[in-house]
Amino acid sequence: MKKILFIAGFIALLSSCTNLDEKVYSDILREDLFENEQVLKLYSGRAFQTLQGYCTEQSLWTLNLQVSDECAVPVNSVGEWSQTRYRELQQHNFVTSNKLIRTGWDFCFDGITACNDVIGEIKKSPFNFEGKEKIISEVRVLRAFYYFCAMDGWGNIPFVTDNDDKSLPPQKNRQFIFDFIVDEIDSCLPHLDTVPGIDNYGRATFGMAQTLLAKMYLNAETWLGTPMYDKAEAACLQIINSRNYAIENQYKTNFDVYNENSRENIFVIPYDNVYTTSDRNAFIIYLLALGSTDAKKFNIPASTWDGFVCQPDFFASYDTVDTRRSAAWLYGQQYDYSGIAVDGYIIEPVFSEGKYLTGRTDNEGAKLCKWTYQDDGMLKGVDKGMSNDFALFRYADVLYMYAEALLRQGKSVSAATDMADFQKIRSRAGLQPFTSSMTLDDLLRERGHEFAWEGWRRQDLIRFGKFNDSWWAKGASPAYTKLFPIPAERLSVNPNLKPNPGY
Amino acid sequence: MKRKTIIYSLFILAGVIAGLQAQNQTKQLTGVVTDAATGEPLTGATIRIQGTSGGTTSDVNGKYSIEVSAPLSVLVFSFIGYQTQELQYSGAGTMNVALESDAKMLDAVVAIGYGTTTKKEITGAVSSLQAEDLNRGTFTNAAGLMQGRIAGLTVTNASGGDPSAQYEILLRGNNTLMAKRDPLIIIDGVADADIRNINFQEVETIDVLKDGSAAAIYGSRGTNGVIIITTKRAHSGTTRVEYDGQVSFQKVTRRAEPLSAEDFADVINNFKPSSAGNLYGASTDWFEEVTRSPVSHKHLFAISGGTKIFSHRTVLNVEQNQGIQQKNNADKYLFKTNIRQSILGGWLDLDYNATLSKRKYTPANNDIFRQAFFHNPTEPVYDPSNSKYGGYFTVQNTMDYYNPVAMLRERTAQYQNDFMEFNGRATLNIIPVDGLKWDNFISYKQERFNSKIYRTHYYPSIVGSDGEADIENTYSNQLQWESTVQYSHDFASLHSLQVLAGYTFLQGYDEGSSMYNQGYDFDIWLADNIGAGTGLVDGNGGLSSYKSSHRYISFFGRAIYNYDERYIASVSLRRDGSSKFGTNHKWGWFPAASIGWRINRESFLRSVKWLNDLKIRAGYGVTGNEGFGSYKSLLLMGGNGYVLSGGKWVNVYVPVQNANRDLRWEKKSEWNVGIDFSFLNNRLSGAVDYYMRDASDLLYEYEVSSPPWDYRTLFTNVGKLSNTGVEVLITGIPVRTKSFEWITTLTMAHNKNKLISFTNEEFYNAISEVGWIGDPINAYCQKLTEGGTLGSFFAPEYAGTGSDGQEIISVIKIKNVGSAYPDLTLGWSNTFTYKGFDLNIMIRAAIGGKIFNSYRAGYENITTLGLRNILSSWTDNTNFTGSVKYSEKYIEDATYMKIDNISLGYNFNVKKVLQSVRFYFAAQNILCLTNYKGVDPEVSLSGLSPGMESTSYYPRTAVFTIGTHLTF
Repeated sequence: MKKILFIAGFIALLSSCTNLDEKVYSDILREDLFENEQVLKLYSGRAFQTLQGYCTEQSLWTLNLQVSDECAVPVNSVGEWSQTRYRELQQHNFVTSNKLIRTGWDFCFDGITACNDVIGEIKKSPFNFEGKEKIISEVRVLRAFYYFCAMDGWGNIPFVTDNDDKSLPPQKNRQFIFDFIVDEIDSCLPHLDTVPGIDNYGRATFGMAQTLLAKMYLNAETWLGTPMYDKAEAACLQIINSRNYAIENQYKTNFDVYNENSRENIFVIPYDNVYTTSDRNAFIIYLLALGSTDAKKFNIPASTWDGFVCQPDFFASYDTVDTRRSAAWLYGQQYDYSGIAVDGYIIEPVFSEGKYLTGRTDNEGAKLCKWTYQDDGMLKGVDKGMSNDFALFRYADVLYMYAEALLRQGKSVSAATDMADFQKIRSRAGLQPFTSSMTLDDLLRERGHEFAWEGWRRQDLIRFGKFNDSWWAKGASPAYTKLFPIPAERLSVNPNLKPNPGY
Repeated sequence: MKRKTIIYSLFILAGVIAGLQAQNQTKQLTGVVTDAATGEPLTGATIRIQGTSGGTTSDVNGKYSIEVSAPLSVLVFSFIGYQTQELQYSGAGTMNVALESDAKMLDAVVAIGYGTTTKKEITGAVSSLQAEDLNRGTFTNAAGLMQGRIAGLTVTNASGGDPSAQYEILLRGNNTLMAKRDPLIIIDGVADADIRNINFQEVETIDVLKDGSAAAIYGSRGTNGVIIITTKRAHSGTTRVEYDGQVSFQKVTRRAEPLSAEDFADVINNFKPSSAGNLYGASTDWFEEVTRSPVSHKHLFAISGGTKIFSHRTVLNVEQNQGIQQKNNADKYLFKTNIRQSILGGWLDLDYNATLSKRKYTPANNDIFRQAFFHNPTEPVYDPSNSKYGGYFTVQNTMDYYNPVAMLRERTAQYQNDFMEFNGRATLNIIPVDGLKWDNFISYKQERFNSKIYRTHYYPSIVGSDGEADIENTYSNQLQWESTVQYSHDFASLHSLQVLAGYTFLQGYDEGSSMYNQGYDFDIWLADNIGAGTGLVDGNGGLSSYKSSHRYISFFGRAIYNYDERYIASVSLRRDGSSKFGTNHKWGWFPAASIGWRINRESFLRSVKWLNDLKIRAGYGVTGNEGFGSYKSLLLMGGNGYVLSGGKWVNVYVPVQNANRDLRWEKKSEWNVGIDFSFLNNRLSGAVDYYMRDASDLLYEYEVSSPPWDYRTLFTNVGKLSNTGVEVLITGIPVRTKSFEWITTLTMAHNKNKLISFTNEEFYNAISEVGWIGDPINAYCQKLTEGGTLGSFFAPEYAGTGSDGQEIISVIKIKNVGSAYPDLTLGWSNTFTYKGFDLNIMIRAAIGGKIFNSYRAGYENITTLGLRNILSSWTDNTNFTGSVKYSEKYIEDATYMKIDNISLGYNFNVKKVLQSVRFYFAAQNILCLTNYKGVDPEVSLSGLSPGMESTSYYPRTAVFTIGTHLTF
């Protein structure tokens, strides 16, 4: 037997005596992947998938929540959530080593990397197919969104549009990035879908691009010192006049488990309990925000972490008749899944700020319930996210930006306040609609309640000049904190990057 | 495969029978071996027949008995410290021999890779251990035999008392950042062998190629040194049946001490009344709840014998080992057979081996030890009213805090490893040309691993998931073919030449699959009915598989020239290729040269009687390290979840790494100079070596700017580091009389590690912090600094506890507290023999290393007291009431001395039925002398952040073994 083995082996080996090529079995070589036109078409999905990272435990969303006045992460009753990274964010004591500041940065630049990659690959490809230009345009607008996020957070950022050039990226200021984003959107707009539908759900559409433009122009004065409210107004009007979007009758329709039919949501990140399932791409706010008794109420089997609560002063700022308060927060007597009151479990939404550091009790702090929790027992832990799609851009936001643009230009705001959809935003919340006498202060407060925990509060507070004020468990902070520090790990790999002023 | 196994078994059985018959033509020869000077009988002298491998040893009265088959046999009489005598068999029944004492040890055969030489001729730094030099006692695998025995070789059992633990082996410091760190292990010719697949009692010799000139013959796999293990082989001689049995008991000698339930309540009431809500009134010792007093036993049966043309050895090994953690078991079954044949009138020598091994084990869950340490001792174990958590007492709203007993009881883990190896060596002796032979070696091995884990409805971290089953399967195989031509010849009487040319081909495959599922109605199936869960359907299950391959090809040659046993020179060259390297660097050259000068052979020293050997050696060699995974140079795309596209969820493919066409081996060049000496009738001997090794092109996963890079890190060759050191080996025989002998051996090693560079123009890693300390500290404790030492601790200065109860830390004064690597490692072994008794005492020490005390940093402050327990040593400084801050306070001196091993044996002199009977007792890991306040200062030194004691540590145990060895 040995002899046969020996001879067979000898012959086999002689032929492959010096061949050292690697054979890949369970991955794909890049050059092999794109031999197929279909794969290339679907490859833009890679860019949009990076958005799924937004609602994970430590990402840009939770970063923006924690540095604003709408959310707090106090030490809880068993001493968890005591890490300094949460203290640093709450108190605007930003340091280059803060983990969430790094993961927030990475969300932006992982997205840009993916967009550059997709755009480069499709442009290079010898395949020509219908809609190629549309796919490229969608990804370019997505890349513009990522640059918008990075510029909003960090101001002075590395700039790359071609991944094939491996030289270290230069650092560009806000003006440069602003101009780039505007140019990109302008040149892509003609190729984007104008009517929202199943094929462009979660992708960049005409409405999405215009909303992004509106947000850019609305913040231009804050960022660049150049007011562009007229352009913001024009962008909002483009969306309003398209008549593709409407304010839903019910506030919660936008946050339901199955909210894909909301006509108000303009740009969403689609999530799914089965398909978006890892700590990198699952929507798991229920783990962060609920305690074990809260979880029982929604038939959530996971062991939840009881960390994020509504900031008490923010909670107190609601009108008592505002139905968005109970739509977004759990407070008062709590009930179990079968509707029976839980003995002694009465949530106190307002508690002293001293407990931020020393530890709150289980029933202190209003808990989040804005995004409807699916109660089918499928929220089982860190790999099992929620199926609610997360709306980044909502039509209500467009209408409020429109009003703000008018107000800031000193124009009459009645063009906005007379709109039925505009009035519906407050009337569905049980409040009196705004009239043409509304003020910017009214608008900031209203935006807080309408968009609570949707991720825009930091940008709003900065634009309204309130970001460095003192608030619950936070003193006044220096002006330079309006920019985050560039994370130390990212500074170290690119000597072209200079730290932001103040850090 | 099954059928093949059966055929093979029959084949072996036939061979054994043939061997038993063959020995009938022999004659019995007896005699006495004595010391020529004193006339006293010599015990343990070896008597063998030249040209065969069989032999016997003399008993306590110097008497021996051997069977001689051919009338013209030459008998070889040898004994350590005496001149070997070769005598023609006269045909008479008795032969008495008087041996002259001399440098026999200098003729000991030393394996040098693809061949052998003798100790006196060696020119590289090679350490050899013979059977009598190996540690005694019980070991989880054969690596334990070397611990403390070889200067410069650090063998650490970092996993404590886990019976399936692996040793970490490090030679001459840490020579890499991220690639393979442990030496290449070659067992009976098979490269990259798994040391767990032999039995430690079967090891005959261990040779360690330490320096570059010696290891360069293994080219790109030689950097970390080469350990060549030779197991007991078939020998001609009478049929011998051996049995070795041992039983071991273990006891935990040191563990981290949390507050007892009583003290826990006292400390809370006196110092932290705000946590009084955490007092549940029970008194539970969680460590006791999850541990036991283990008993292990090991059995070995061997049968061997044969003739010059056909000999065999077959071993069966059965072990059942228990760990101190409940349910932690490791069983092992090993079958191994070796057959040697000489056919075609001596033209062709054949040597074939078959090994089958099965390991069945339940691994420890080390996290249970960590959870048990900090678990609140006033909590009861059970709470019958808590049906959701299966009746275990459970605190809600916690992260990473679980009932340890529930973790233990509600998880079932069954691991199995099946290993099979066949190899054959065919040596064609070109008889007309004396000394010329062509050797071909083929080995095929395969290994299957299967693990099944089931966590019930009540496993704490997954309550609500209705049970979880995990199954993992891996399979790997390796085909190795080696072809060498060797020629050795003595020209005239002064010149001797040994030339070797060879080719090696190695191909390996690895594949595996895993699956998990949740949502079971019953816990009864464990993981045996994995499809019964609902998880796979509703997204709480998963499937995966992978496959990879690698290929490794080499051409090599070596020439050793020896003039009058006075001047010796050796040169070697290897050309190595590996499929793992980038397309720009598929092949590399690995040259080496060394010389030796035996000064005692010079005429001016030949008359010095007390000088037995004095040799100066010098060598230089280039080796590589290709110990990293396949495909690291390629731009690979992998699946990464799903995205919604046109109403459907579709797969997403993303780059999983950056391409690097320049990826290559890490390169090491090494100078070594050494002296071998032996004085006073070989009563005092030893070696001193000095080495300088420079490793360059070190691999590291560099953070790169992404974009434009597709992936955030790039695996590439950048860094440089050096290790410089001195190794000393001294063996003395202070006493040697007729009945009493004392042999003492001291090994000492000093190594200085220096990271020369870590960045270049292209790749920056300005922040290269390693050694992450998790909650509550969240800091790195070590830094990679150019010009510094790997494993260097950096910490703020500590100035005591302030009046506010906080630690006083100077954030400005960050100090380099020192490196985890010891300045000096020592091994001191002593063997005493008195008549039939032998006593071995091994002491090991390490002087000067630093260690991060994770226990004190994590648990010696009362801020976490309440939900979690703390170290009882907090009560030594109750002024400290603040939260923990990282500082030099937690970096301690790791200097230790251990009485590692005491073994006592007695050999009975029996004549009937049994040839020999030995009883032995061993006590291992008995005493550790140290100032370190943690559990055990001997921790892993092989990683990039060495010297950090883990809080999930499996405690080391003192092991007491009794055993017997019978030879029939």
